[in-house]
Order: sequence, then structure tokens, then C-alpha cells
Amino acid sequence: MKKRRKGNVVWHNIGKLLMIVACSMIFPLLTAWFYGESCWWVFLLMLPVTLGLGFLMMKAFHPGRKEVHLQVRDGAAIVTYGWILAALLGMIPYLMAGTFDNVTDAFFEAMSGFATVGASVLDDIEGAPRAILMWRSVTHWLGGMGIIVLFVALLSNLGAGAMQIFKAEAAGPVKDKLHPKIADSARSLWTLYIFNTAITGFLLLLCGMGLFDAVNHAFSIVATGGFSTRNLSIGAYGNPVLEWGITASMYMAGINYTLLFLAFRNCSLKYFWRSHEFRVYTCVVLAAVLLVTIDILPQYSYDVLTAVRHSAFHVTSVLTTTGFVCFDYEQWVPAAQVVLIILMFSGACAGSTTCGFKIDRHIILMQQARREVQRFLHPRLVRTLKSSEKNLPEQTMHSVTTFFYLFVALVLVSTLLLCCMGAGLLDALTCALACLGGVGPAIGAWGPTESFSSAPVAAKWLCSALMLLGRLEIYTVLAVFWPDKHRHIWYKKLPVYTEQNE
Amino acid sequence: MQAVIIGAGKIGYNIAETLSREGHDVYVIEKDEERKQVVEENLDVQVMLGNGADSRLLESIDIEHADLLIAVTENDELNMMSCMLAGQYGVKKTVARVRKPEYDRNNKLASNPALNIDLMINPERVAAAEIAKIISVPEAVDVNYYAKGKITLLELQIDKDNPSAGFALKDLRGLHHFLVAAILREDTLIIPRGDDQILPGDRVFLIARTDQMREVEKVLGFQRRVVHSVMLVGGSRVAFYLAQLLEKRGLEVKIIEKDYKHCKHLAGQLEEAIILNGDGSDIDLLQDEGVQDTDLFVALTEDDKLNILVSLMAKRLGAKKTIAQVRRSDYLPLIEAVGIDIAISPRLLTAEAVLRFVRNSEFLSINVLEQGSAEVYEIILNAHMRRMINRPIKDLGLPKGILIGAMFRNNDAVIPSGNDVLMPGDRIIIFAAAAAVRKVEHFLRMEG
Repeated sequence: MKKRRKGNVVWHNIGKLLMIVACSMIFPLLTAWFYGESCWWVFLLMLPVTLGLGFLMMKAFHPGRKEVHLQVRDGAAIVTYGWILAALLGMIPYLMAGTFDNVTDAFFEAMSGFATVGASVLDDIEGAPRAILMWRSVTHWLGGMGIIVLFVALLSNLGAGAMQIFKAEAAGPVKDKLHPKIADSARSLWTLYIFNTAITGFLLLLCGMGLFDAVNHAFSIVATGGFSTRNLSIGAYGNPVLEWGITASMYMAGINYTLLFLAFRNCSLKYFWRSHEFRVYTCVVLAAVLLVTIDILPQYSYDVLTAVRHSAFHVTSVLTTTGFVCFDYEQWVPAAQVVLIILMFSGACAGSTTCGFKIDRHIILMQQARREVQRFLHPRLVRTLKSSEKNLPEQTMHSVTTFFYLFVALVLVSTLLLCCMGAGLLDALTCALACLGGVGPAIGAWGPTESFSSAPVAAKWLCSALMLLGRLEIYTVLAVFWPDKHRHIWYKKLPVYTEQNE
Repeated sequence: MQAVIIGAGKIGYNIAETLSREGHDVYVIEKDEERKQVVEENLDVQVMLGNGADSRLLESIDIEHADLLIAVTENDELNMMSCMLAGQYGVKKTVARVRKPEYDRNNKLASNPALNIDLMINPERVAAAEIAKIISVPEAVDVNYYAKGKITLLELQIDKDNPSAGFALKDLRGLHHFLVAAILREDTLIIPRGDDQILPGDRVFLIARTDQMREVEKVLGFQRRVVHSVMLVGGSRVAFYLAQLLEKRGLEVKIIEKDYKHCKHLAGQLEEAIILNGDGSDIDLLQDEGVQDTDLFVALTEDDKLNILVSLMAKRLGAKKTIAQVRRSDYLPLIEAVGIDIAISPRLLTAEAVLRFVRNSEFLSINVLEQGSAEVYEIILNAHMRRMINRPIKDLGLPKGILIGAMFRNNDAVIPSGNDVLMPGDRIIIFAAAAAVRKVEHFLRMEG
């Protein structure tokens, strides 16, 4: 028996991942060619370069013929490093096309794209080449359902190990499989995602958007991203019908894909009403719209239709962590703005493309709070937490409470750091929330009408980190960077996979 | 009639006893030798040793000519298989005891003609339904509903300080019609006349329209209580089904169960109920959890003696009403004597339900009251029952011990007076004292 160093499953799979990112550059390339823009060479160059890099990594780290058992830590490493590398490669087109002149801005924009945050450092969006705008939207679209999910659907031969990386990227406290085979589940999700994109795009066209804008916004909406092709975001169109159309699409994008899948497969709406989370999600939307509308009615001189339209748009935009803007909500009364800040804490359904804390976690926490109060009265109480009529193991509850702690801690520490960098209190707090929660525009200095370009360099890097943490739901990233001497997934020791040679 | 009973447990034994007493040929199949001997010594039936799904054994007892097969072993799957087998031999009616909730709520399974089960009965569910029925009228000892729920029969205990004690029946007047069908006084059932008095210690059987019962009770000095909180000790299947029923009604349910794993299981199945992990016989725990304020206390552990003990304890601590589950039917009369309000025996209830099913199908329902001291029948009159129809009730010449408690015509329930005339198509409720039970069927068949 001979031990032989035989590649690394982590880098091997990241190589594959990069090939997918490379393929997606076909969209901006086609856009540049179609509109005859001068920056076409950027993507013509980047596409083969990225593809080649991915291919090389895949070959160089090939783990051999033997089926490799993927460990949990490998899964976390693939996802985290994969995302960081994708953002690093994704920023190169911005630099080459001259959209940004420094790495900080370019990385921020790329990370904000992949993490579907939608915070932008691009001041003059309309002045940028259309190919670059398309690339921003494509990064959203890839990040929305997840690069990893796409990778699992198309290229992975990991078998059972795929569940590890699938779980590491998927959003929400409880992860469902749609099919017995994980690759089939991933394929179903992406099919549904593409279908959803098509419907959204069609709806936008119907509402009177141009083709280029409709495609970009469709990508942005289904991914709950927030990049627009206009400086003033949706407000630039001044089209009430379009605003309602986008509100509806954003609401759709906040629904759990498992529910959408069941509803589509069985052609029945009953799954929606049966889902507790969906009911809560809908109630939260309605309640928040009502609350905001009442707050802002006097400002709109009791023009109810406009007030409802604006409040519905921004409530869904913030709740689904999209971050589109149709009106400068900083002009609203403070009460209405506080509702939006609270919604930044909330997020939409688990298993959707949204970021943030997720309604499902809130439901679990509320049940837990109720249980603890009851236990105070009845010390011997036994109660099981439930999510959509399923009993949850105690483990889930611990994971959710810890997630809450980490979420709040990250927001507070980031607020402190941002304040040290010179930001105002409200600016810093909402910026941290908007980046970690994946919303995008904050309130204050980096609000709906401003870009993040005015932020200090350090703040931009901090925000980029928060975006990654938020999109990968904290645990995955922390697991990789946690100081643990037993872990050997980073450069210190590459794991050695052996092959038996008889 | 030839009946085959598979499984000679408490239920099987009870059914075998009743059917055999009524003159039917009963075969019992039992796998346990000792139990077989017990049955052989006590009952006039033929007992076979073996497996109920063994076709050779079934053929040896001439299964082709059996009219009825009742499979009541502990094993659900065996019961279902026996019924399936009976279907192949052409047995007319089959009954299976099925306890697992996954099976008895499984529509695809229960309605599958291949299984050939005419009645699927779940003793725990039957017992839970019975307790839930009592809870809706907590001041009563027993409650029964007839005519699609429009008619209620209550059994009420007259205490010393009851204001109606000492009154003659004819002096009791209320806004609505009602009927005192019988009085149970020191273990004898009296069908009372107008001059009969109500005495302390009596149990009174009262029939009235369900929507008017609340008012009618007041005539006898009862005030309808509303049950808000229920405490269950023991997290058995009965407790689970009961808690489910009560949760639906929005009552506050507490379940005390000793076994933690069992608690977890219950907590996973129920929504609102408070499940406590502890010993139900621990007085401190009961007091901490407010047994003194509960409207109803139900002891449902597996252990009869413990049930009796904790029910007594709860009663002493101030629970307003106590119910104990008791499996051994010989304990039953004793329990209500010691002060526990109601004793429930799932097995007895099941046996009753099965008997109700296998008896004459003209009867929509048969209820046995107070361990057989009276029975209540619900029937639909047809044109052949000439003795009953087209003449006032006072001229019917009903045998002693039989009375017509209510009638139900055109979706409206009436407590009849002597001048009312019965017609074909009427649904009537007949109340019969034990001594007159045999006469009921005979009377219905009498010509003109």
C-alpha cells in the first residue's frame, strides 16, 4: 500500500465553480456585441481566462478515480472560498472596462452583486456601458439561487457529499430536499428559478419597460438583489403600474421555493395557505404596509393610492431584501423609517432567494420565547417547536438562537467599527444591517438616493465581508475562519487523499 | 347467528359473553392457552387455540356459515388480516379493532374493499370521544345525544341540597317541554309517574331538546357549568385523542406524564396543550399546576389503582369533577361509590359499540345506561309497525317500563305528550328499563 498525495477536493470543486462563473460571462459579451459597445473585449478576454483557470484548478487538484468523501468542513470551504474567488474574478471586468479605478470599489460591487445585496458604489449608473450593467445583473442572478446550487445541478459528482455544500449555501434554518437526489433538487430549483425569471421579465415588459431594462431588472428581482440600470432606481420610470408590477414580483421572490415547487408541480395554491411561514410572511407584509401607510398619509396630503403604492413597494423591497427604491423614503416621518429598519431585521421566507434573518427563524424564536415564559409558570413543561407542522429537533432551536446572537453581535460590532471610521450612528447601524441583511440601501449617508462611493475604504471592505457573511448565513463563513487547530482546510495543511494501489 | 371472535381479551370476552347470553353460537379463537381455559370455564362458547388468520383453523369451525367475525386481538395487523380472510369466506359482517392512529385515520386503507372491514373500531378513540361528550355537560353523570344531536338525554345526580329534592314531578314546571324518563334510586330503576317525588341521592334521566336543555336543567336546580381547564394524568393514547378533541374546542389542557420520551412525543403531536413531565401522584406537582382550579380532572394512566388514587386525591384537592379510566370492569360500580364522579372503561365502551353495530340494523343506535339498568333505542318508524303508528301515544298500550322519549319529524325534535300521533318516517327515541328491554323488539313487530 502506497500513500500518495492526490489533489484536493476543495480546490478541485472550486475550479468547476469558476467554470460556471466564466460561462455566465456570455451574457455581458452578447450585450456588448449587440449594442456595439467598446468594452466587448473585456468579456471576450475574461471568459476564456476564467474558464481556463477553472479548468486548470479542476485538473490540477483532481482527487483521482476514487470516490471522495466530502467532509462538512470541505463543504464550508468550497462554498466560502468559492464565493470569494467568484467575487475576485467578478471584479476584474469592472477594472478592465474602467468603471472603477481601484480594487476596493470593484470588489465591493462584485461582492454586492453575488451576495444579492444591491449596495452600489457606482455613482453614474446610466453612464456605464450596458455590458457592465448586464454583468452586475448576472452576478445577482447567479448569487440569487446560488452558484453552488447551480454547480450541484450541473457539474457535481459528489453524490451524498453534495448535501454538505448545498446546506452550506441554502438559506433558512430548515433545509428541504425536493427530490431523493440532491442534484435533481438543485436542477428543479434552477428550472423554477429560470421560469420565475422569465415570468418576471415578461411582467416587466407588459408594464412598459424596455427589453434591456426588463432583462436586467428581472435578474435583479428574482435574485432579490437590487442593482438597477437607472441612477434613480425604479423611481426613474415614474410609472405606477410598473411599481405595482415590481412589488408583486418582489413578493413572489420572497416565497419559499419548496412551496413554489409543490404548487407548480401539483398546480394547486393550497400549499401556500397550508404553510405557516407563508401566512406569517403575508401578514407581515400587509401589517407593515398598513402601518407605513398610516404614518405617511399626512405627508402625501391623504393621497391614499400613492401612499399605499409607495409603502407597499418599499415594504416588500426591504422585507425581501431587494433594495429597489421608487421614492426617497428618507423624507418619510421617522415612524415609517423605523418600520423599514425593523423589516431589515426580518427577511422573507426561508428557502427563498432573500437574505437576512428569515421569517422562519422569527417564528421559531417566538415559539421559543413563548415556551420559556410558559416554562416559568410550569417548570416541568415539555413542548416541541414546530415549523410548518413539522417538529423541530432542539438542535434547530439552539442553532437559531445562536444565529440571532451572531447576527446582532455582528451588526453591533460593525456599527462600532463604522462609527470609528467616521460614520454617523444611524448611518453606521443601518449600513451594517443593510449589508448583513442583504438589503442594499441604508438610511442616512448611504441611503436610497446615494451610493456607497462616499464610504471610506476600510468601511467598504468591512461591508463586503458583512455581505458574504449575510449571504452564506454566517455559520458557513465562520466555520472556515474559526481559529481551530484541528481544521486543516486552509493553506497550512492540504488534506491528503490516498488511493490504494494493489 | 354464528359469530367468530378472535382474541379473548377484555373486549373479546365481553362481546362473547353478551352474544352467548343472547342465544348466539359463539366461537372464540385465542392464542394463549391459559386465557383459553379461563374463557372455557366461564362462558358457554367454543374456544379454539390458535391464530385468527389461520385459514385451516377458520375452516375447521365452519367459517363459511359465520354471519359475523370480530377481530379484537392486541395486534392491529392481525385483526385486519383476519377480516380480509373472512371476506374470502363470505362472512357477512366484520369488525376489526385498530388502534394505531396511522391506520384508522388512513382513508385509503379503511375504505379499501379488499380489507373487507365493516367497522374499524379504536377503543382509545371511543373512550376519548365519550369523555369529550361528558365534558360538554360537566354537571351530568352521563350524556347521550340522539336524532342528529337535536335530543339530549342527561343523567343527573340529585344532591342533598338540590332545590328540586322533595318535589313531585308534576310540580316541576319550566318554559320548555322535558321528560323525566326514569329515576335510579338505590340501584332500582323507576319509570316515574306524575306523583313520584325526586329524593336526594337519586339519579334522574332527563330527556329534552338539546337547544332547550340548558333551561330545562334549571328546573331541577342545575346550572350549566362551562369547562375551561382540563387536567389529564397519564399520556396514554386516550389522553392524546382527548387532548386533540379538547384543543379543537379551545379548552386549556394540561397533561402530566411520567415518561420524558412520551412527553416529547405528545408535545410533537399536539398544538396548544401544556405537557408536563412529572409524576401524576405527586401532590405538590398537582397543586403547583392548579388542580384545585381545574374544572375537570381525568386519570388515564395504564394503572387502574393509580387512576383511582389520583382521582380521589384530585377530588380532595378541589377538582370540580373527576373521571378515572378503569380497565377492569368489575371495579366499575365500586368507583362511583367512593366519590370519583365517573369511571370510564375503554374496553367496555368498545364492546358496547361493537354490540350496537352487530345488533339489529333497524335501530339507528342503542345506548346502554348505568351498566345495563336501562337501554335507549333510536329507530325510524316504517309503515309495517302498525302497532305504533297513526294513533295517539296514550292509546298505544306500551308495555310497562317502555316509554317514548322524543320524536323527530321534518328535522324538528319534539318531546311528545300523550296526544301526539306517531307517523311512518318519524324517528323516535325509546327508553326501556332493563326488565322491559326484551319487549321492545317484540312490540315493534306486533301487528295492529
